[in-house]
Amino acid sequence: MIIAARKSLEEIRNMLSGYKRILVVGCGTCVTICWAGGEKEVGILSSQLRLASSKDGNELSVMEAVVERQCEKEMVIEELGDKVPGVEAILSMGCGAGVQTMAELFEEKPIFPALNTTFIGMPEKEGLWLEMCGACGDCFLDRTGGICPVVRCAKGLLNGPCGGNLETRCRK
Amino acid sequence: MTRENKKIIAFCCAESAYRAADRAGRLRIRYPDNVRVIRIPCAGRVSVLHILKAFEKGAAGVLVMGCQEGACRHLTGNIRAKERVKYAKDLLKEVGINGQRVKMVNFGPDMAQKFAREIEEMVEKIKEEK
Amino acid sequence: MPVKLGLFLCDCGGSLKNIDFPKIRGNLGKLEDIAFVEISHNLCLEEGEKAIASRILRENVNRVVIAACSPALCEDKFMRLLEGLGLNSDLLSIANIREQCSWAHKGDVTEKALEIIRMAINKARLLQGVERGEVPVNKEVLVVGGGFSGMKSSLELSRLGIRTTIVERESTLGGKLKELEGFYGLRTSPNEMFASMTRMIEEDKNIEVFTSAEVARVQGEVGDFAIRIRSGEKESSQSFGAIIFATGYRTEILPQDFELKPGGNIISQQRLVEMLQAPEKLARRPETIGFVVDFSDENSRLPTLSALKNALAVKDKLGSEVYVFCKNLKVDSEGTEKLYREARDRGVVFLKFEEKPRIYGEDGRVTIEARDVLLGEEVTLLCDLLVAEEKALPPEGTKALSSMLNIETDSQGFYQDENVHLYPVASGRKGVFFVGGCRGSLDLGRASTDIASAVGSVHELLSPGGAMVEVEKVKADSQKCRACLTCIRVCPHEAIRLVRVDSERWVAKIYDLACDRCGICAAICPATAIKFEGYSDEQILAEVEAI
Repeated sequence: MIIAARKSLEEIRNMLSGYKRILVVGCGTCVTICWAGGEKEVGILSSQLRLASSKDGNELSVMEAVVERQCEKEMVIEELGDKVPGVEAILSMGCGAGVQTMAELFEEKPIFPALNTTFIGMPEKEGLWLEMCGACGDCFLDRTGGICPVVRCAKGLLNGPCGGNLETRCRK
Repeated sequence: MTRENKKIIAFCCAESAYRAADRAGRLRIRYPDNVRVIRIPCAGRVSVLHILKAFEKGAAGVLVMGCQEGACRHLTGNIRAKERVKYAKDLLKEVGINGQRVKMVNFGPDMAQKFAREIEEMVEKIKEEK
Repeated sequence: MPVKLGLFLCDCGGSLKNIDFPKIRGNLGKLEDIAFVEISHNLCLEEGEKAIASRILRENVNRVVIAACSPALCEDKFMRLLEGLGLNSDLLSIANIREQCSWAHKGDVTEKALEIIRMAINKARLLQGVERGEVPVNKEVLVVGGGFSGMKSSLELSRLGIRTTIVERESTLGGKLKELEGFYGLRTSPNEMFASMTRMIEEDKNIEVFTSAEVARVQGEVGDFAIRIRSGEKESSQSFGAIIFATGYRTEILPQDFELKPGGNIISQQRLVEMLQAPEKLARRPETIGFVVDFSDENSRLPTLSALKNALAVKDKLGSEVYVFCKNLKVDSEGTEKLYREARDRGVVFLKFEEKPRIYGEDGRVTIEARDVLLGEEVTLLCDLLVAEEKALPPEGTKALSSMLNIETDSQGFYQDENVHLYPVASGRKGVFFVGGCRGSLDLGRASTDIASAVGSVHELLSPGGAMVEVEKVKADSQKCRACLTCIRVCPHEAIRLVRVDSERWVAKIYDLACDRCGICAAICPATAIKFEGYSDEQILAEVEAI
């Protein structure tokens, strides 16, 4: 599953400066599961944006929406088709694929990413995800006992000059 | 904020803080009247969104009131509430609202004095900032 | 159906003088969806209830808001009233204008009362009501552990007509009953008790016993636990409605607490009992015997009891001089105070220390040096035998079992004993109970109280017919659920499982009987798919909206 983390509010607001009507779009798949861009996170970010702009005395209208899978054109059109014309900019809470799908569909509107897509991973427990895969396109897990030595090495080194690990930390 | 109405919202766990508030009334312990109590089954029911929305609606402060640590009927509800309040503080700071305006408080059902004191403290804190 | 609200205001016998009720009526009566505003003096009395009933029926409202005292006091009563009228009792919203408004502030509080009532009205508009329904439950109970507590639980449940299965790790039932010397204050000897209980269990058709068996897996939830029982090589699966754990405790002398290793002249209570059973086998009669209790552990109720009992037995059978070193003598269990007095009368000397005594061996004898806080002097005692206190510990396998059940243990490793809401025998997981030694109730009296309490709860839970529950009060919307497992991981009651709907998609299902209605899942769900009727996001935010 794709894991992402939200950008800071400051960064997001800088991107959005000057726009008065925006649409925050979450995605109902990977980023919902990793607590970064599901319906609740859309609500939280929208609420923050409204609070921040009212504190600054600016007017900002924030609409909220969630697309089942933001990387599917049909689903995006179905969910957002009639909402997009009413806004000046779209803030995507999807992964990189979601942002680009929307950018392709709504050429006339600026699309901003609210998340940093970080890695492909698995949940360790609620709220904690481990990086498992770097999507390198050259999988050799068959030769490494099912452990990716590149992604799961802190230095990203295959066969690096270390002595293996000791209690989850690198030796030397 | 433009719509600020100086109200304090207290999300009160029905097992403890809500009872403490009732008891404060029974003992005629006076506290500021701008607090509005919302009864919830467990402090763990409060989500970050509830806290943010309260501020959006113009609340000046939010108190999340649950059971004493180790005495939550739902075992982890109050601990989760504490973590969420911490998270909400960060989110509010990003917005430019003092994180001290949201607070987690632990109660036993008989702590009427503490209930009154916490409300007073929050009111004082909000006054100081003006 | 459009919302039609009925609003009742109660001035508590005219005592809430700082609220202007007619003003509230004037103000709120204007709202479109309010059918009526009725001011009453005593809603909680019979006349008040009658007035509510007739007004509700006459006006045919579908939501009821009552502004009165705290819902902690009146909610149940009014819910029953609505139910009696054929209305769904969850269509009620209560505004607490007495404890948290009128009584809490001086001066006129009409404005605040008005706002509190508005909050309740806002919430009432969104209430959906919850149906009550029956859930089928399996009537059989699994008892883990076949010692006193396990056997007694099974026998008691059998008397109530509930079938039980005992799973015992050892090859025979009995547990500690087989080892004990005697019960203080009881004529029955542990052996006799063991024999009679085993006989009763053998004759009882409601009780099935697996010995040399273990619980290998626990799945499911109250009413339908799927248990795998491993017995040697064989494994069998069975469903149970509830589980009682009576896994007992073990005792151990912790060598790290003493400078000397046990053996030689430092012996355990157990070894002393063996000596007392056959004093003629002793090479030499010990002239002086010392006891140390409350040395390493504050939880010394049982060691105290057995030390006192054994000190008296020593006096009886060996006639030695007996000294008991203690920090605190826990005499709060049944009959222990009397035992203590008896021991003193019989010449047992008690010495009270604050700092740990120094203990070392010398020429086959043991020297104990301690500062007696009552005498205010250093005391040195040379004794032939030192009987060390044993520490009561949770039995082996407790950790594995608790992680399998996902149930917490207390600071000493015993099963949950610290939560006031679950105290004494319930656990975070509904339908799972702990009795006797495994939760630290070490003596017979306490264990019996545990058993009575657990048996009562089990009987209530598995009462004839199915169990009545509020159907889908907390529900995961199968369309919105993304099967992220978050709710399953955070549920403190193990009430959520992943199931397939339409034999395709996986979604979270919340089991009504196992759920304890805390709403932790609803607060954490990243897809906001979980709706907690009565405390849903919309309903809570509607209250916030009113301020």
